[in-house]
Amino acid sequence: MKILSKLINGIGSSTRPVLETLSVAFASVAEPAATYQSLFNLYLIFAIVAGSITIGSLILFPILYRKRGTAEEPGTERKERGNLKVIGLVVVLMVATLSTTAYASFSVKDFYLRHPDCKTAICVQVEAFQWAWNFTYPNGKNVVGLLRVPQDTPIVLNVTSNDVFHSFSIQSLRIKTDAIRGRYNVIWFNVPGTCPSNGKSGYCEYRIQCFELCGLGHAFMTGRLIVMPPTDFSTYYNSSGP
Amino acid sequence: MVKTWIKRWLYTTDHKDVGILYFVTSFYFGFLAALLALFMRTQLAVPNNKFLGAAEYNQAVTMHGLLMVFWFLSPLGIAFANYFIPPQIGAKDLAFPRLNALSYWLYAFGGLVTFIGFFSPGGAANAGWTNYSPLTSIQFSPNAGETLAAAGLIIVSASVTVGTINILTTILFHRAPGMTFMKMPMFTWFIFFTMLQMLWSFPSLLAGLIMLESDRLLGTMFFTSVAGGSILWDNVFWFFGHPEVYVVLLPAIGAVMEIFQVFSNRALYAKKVAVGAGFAIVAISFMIYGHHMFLTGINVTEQEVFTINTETVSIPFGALMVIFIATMYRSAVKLATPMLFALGSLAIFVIGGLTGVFNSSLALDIAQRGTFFVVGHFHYVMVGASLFGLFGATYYWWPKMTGKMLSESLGKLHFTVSIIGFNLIFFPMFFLMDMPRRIVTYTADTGWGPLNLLASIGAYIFIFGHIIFLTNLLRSYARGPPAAPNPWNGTTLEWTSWKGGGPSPIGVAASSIGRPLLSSLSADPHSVRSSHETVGSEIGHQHWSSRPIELSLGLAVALAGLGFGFPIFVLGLVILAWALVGWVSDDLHDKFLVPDEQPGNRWPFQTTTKLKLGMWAFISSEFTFFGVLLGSYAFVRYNFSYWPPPGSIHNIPIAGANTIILLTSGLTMLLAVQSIKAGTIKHVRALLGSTLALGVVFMIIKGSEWYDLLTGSPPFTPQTGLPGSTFFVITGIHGAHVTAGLVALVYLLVRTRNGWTPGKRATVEHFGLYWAFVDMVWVFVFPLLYLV
Repeated sequence: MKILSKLINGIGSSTRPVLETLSVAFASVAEPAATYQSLFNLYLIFAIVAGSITIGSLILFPILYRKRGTAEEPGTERKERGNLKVIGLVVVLMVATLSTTAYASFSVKDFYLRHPDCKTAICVQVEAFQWAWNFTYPNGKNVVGLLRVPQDTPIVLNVTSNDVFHSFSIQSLRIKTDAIRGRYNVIWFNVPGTCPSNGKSGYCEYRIQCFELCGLGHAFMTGRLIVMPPTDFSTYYNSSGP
Repeated sequence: MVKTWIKRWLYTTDHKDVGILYFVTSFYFGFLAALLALFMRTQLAVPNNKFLGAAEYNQAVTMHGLLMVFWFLSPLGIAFANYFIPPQIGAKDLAFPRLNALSYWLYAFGGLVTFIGFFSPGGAANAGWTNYSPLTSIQFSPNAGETLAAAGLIIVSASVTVGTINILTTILFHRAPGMTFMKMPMFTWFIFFTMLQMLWSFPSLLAGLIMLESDRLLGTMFFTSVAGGSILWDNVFWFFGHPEVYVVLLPAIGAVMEIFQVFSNRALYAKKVAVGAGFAIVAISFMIYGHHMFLTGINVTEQEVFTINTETVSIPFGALMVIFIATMYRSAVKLATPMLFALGSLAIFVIGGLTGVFNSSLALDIAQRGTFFVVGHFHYVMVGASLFGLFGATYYWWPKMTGKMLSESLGKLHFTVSIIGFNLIFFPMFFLMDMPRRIVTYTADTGWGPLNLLASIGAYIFIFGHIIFLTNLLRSYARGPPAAPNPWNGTTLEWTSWKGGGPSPIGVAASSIGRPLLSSLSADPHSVRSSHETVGSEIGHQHWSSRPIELSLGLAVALAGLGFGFPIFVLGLVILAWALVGWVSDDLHDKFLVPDEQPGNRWPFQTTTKLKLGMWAFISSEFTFFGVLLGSYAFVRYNFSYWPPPGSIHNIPIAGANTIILLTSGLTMLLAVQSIKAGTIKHVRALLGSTLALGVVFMIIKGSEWYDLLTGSPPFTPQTGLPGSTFFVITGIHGAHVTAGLVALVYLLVRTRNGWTPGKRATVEHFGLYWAFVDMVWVFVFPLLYLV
């Protein structure tokens, strides 16, 4: 009984953020990574339940109903059966589950899409090219491979490509969008300044990488996101160095 | 002796021989592709590895995907379909035996054309099996390898078109008396579903490949422009690509259904629901491809629709899982090797399918797109479900194909090693969600090393399993114990109606479902007119032909010429023309005889001829083909801000007159067909001649139109932006179809010069269908390209 209640509590706490987002309008600050993870956990729970029952049956039934004895009467018991109630029940369960997951997904996607405008956020142009990333700030400052941003501030990225099909991602923040020539895809994020361990720069760093095969340099098309305190960022922003 | 053996295997049209050809060739390509995978896993085992450079790795990952999908998994399913569908439905052979051989040789030579890329300057194709644009354009992939890969795929598309028409017509037309649809075995049903998907998806790939090769070689701009570009390729490729993955899966599922019934000694639970689920899968599979495009920037409502549709496809599969499990309920399961692989296939399929649901989410895809999570997902369904199912099919049907038994202990060892190795490779990938796909290496600080090492160890174990499998096959073939005619106590006709032991007599249906079909033509003195010697005593009767391999060679050399140069292209066309003339001459001299089949169950096509069915199937695939071409035109036009106003480039009055000429030729053709139907054949040849003349005039006017455009000032060429690209490619392809029709008309006129038979009348009618279709396409093309 205790195990059962712990299990239910566990399910509840890991899916609560998703359920919260289902019922409440989004505030401006929220972590995509946590939102993503709770949506993932929702899917995972359904998958584990469905998978255990199905795979469990596939392992159990051959053992439980194995052929006993050597009397082999080909063709006996080969009449067709079909009680549609079982199939009907499974279909209904699947429809219910899949509706829940779809609705949760739509809510999370909606959250991803509602990006702040360039008055409240810092809007950075991102141009992918073989094989690096070119960042242009609102004041025209232009850097390759390195994106410095202030912490706790919404950052909006307008992503495109100069040549082939790339895909821009700050994977650990669960941010990604395709970079296609002639198209502009928008993603946004908002990062706190604290992290488990600081990077080379002395600040929190996140890895930027390309997620679509784009030629010989695809594996090396990386970049760094550096999250700085606002004052340090201001200094950087108004300077001319990288 | 050797000469006879070579002649048999090069010229056979017998469905069992062709099945064996497909079987051996697909495993050959499969082992090549597995080697490439082993190289990749070796490279990825540790960070910063130097076993393969980026250039080699990109070629390996691309060719691995292409070979596995197009040249191994799908053809292996077709091998079993070739061998076992005729006996399962009580037919003698497939509907069109020479087309069967043709589809095999096209597939085999297409593979060589693609594979030869490895030995061309710049190496093999290296832009991923998905060939995303504009990476595959001539600017970013200047190497011939990509041209050759696309050429090989075009050849495979031809192979598939021919093959699907053949198998569909066979299933619809050649069922023995009493073999109703619901009595058909599940394997035949699932091949039927596979064929429907192939018929309507491959033309989209073909259209995309033609546009791609046109971009690469003629300077058109379908995929290099912003209006077309990446998104156009995404749509065209994935409209094909998503049904394609079910094409790879469904034959294995069908085989697993057979194995489940035999090895639980039970009929399939709820067979009607299984059939209904199959139809649902076919229909839904065309409506979900957008889940590959979630992050491209398409409208969010579209994304939501694709999420819902993709989730929906899991429902028929869920129903199938219930059916499999319920079949075992209160049964008598025998865990022989075929059943082990069938169970393993389904267990792995569950994991693959569930992770597919994760990927169906437009939100979760933000993290998962382009990562190893996706790689894990599709290998679970493709390798796990499909390959393990096909392994099971091999163990199941080997005794019937060879008359020998495979070793059970080696089989069980193969299964154990494979299932451990397979899961070791791919399960860790679900925890590598931060790792991008298709990267040649990674740094140690990412922390991806340990899981990659585990996966690579799994790869070596998995390969060891393949070696066990190969050993089992070879040992059994050389000196395995002889197999009884029905070692598994199967109840489908391939087990109960053949005596077994080597190639079996064909066309003998079990007496329980109706009269036996004609068993052999050897008593018929008119069976073979040619003087060629008997080719192998095991075949039974001599309906072989050299034309399929010759024609395939011609087409392959011609398309390889796209990558190797104009002289090779011309050489290929010469061989192609010679083979076509030879085929036509064979027909004019009745050199090849298709064995007669007694009328069986043909519902709902009791009054249609076999050729007409084939023609309708072909036309339906052409619908998709032209639909995608014209849809691409609409797509780029919608996205392109400037398009020349009507009449500014093209001469509308002349094109309008030309349209009337073509439609008049349609009228004369219609009159010809009507005359035949009414029984008066007096004027038919004159009407055919008029159709030919009008068609030739159409082509001449079209040619002069092109000439004027190309030499005008300023010249309007395929390189003149998107208006030029679309105009020349679309009218060019339509013109090619008209020309093919004109060649066929010449053939018809020659063929009917000495009088009429019912067969000749039918042929004219079927051609009338084709000609009507070609006219109808022009009715759409003309306003779209000239008037708006």
